[in-house]
Amino acid sequence: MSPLNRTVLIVDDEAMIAELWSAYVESMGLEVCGFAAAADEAVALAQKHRPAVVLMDVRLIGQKDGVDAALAIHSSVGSKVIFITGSNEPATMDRIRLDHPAAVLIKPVSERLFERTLTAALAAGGPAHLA
Amino acid sequence: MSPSAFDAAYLAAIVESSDDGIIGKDLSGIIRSWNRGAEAIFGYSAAEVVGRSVLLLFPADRLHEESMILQRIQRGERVDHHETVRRRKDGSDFPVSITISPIRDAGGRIVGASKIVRDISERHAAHEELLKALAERDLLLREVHHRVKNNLQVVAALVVLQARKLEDLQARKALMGLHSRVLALGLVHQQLMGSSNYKTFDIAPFLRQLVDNIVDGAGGDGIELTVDACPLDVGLDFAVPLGLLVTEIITNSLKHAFPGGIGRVSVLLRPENEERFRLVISDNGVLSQDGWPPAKGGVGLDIVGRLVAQLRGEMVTKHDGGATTEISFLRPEPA
Repeated sequence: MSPLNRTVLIVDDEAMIAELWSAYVESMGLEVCGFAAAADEAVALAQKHRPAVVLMDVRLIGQKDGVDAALAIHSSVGSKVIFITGSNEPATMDRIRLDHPAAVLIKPVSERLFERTLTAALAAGGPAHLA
Repeated sequence: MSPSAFDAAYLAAIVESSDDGIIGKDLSGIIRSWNRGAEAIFGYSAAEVVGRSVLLLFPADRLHEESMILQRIQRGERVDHHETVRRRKDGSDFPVSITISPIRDAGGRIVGASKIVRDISERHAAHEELLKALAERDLLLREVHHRVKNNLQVVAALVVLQARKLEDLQARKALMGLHSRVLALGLVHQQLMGSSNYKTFDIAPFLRQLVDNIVDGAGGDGIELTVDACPLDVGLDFAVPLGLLVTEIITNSLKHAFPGGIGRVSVLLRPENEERFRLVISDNGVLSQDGWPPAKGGVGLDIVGRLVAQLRGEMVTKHDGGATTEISFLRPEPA
């Protein structure tokens, strides 16, 4: 698989939530490669930009959810996926476990927890894997 | 007409005019009588079915019921309001309620059974409709709480985005205080979303998550946090003021009590007696000039006083090796 870029793709159908993640990502000195609000859009952007990390909401616009998108990205791109979900209900958690998430965060997420989780996901990716 | 002949004719008239299907059968399950109600329900005329087996009226997956019914009849037992499924002449199945009683001859010997069959399709359909409506209501309530929680999280995100643009540290802190309060409200709706009745939830996990969020949001890595709460079912009306109250008190502790960023905060909820509960929030921090209780005029004190009143509670604060706030309140009324 070709190397990944040290960028972050943000997938959330709530624009202001996506904007907040973007502010957190940028203050870590990282670049946001794109925003998606639907699963297919997320997969297309991930394939185009090959981000090291994808921040993934579960409920998205359209029929497919974040888990569908994460599974497709996992197999075709190999980005680390951090789920950031509004619901910790068992049904959602079971869905998320279908993928192999780098982490699962339940909203609201503090900036500190966000930074720690993103740093850990980037480190776990391994430098050899990144461009 | 002899009295007994009159009685028989009288009974026959009742049977014949009944809307319920009334069917007589012998002990081998052969239909011996068939009233007009049975004709209407099953679609067979008496001429078509008398002399034939009752199994004609059973869907294939219910055939086993007949031997069970016959055994009970032979023991002289009744089968009351047995709800099952039967088949009409046109092949369609429908829900029925059946009452089966033994028929005895003059000598008291059981010779057959009477079956009273009631078509309960309408009741079933109404019941199904009701269940569907209830499921839809649950889905809608869940969705409403989900939306409210989402909206509050959007408000919270906007507040943080605004705070990050500000140079003034005081203004930033004030906005982040507002952020915690909005999230406390969001958490109430998150708990309701996951509750079985969409009305009440257990306060214990709510308190744990609420306090975790506040300490984490305030960057309290050095704070050792204990939350020990007894189970207590609460509704929106109670959880909202309580959540805001706990947010004010903990935020205040974190702001003033620990200049070095190291310390302990504990939240304890216990029943006081049959009717009252006591919430104890304590820290082992230092008291500073602007510490607890906050200076008059600060929004914190106003808020705390009003919230305690809303909960119809009583608050006592103590200072001995830290600050302790005790709030005693009545068990919330079932929502």
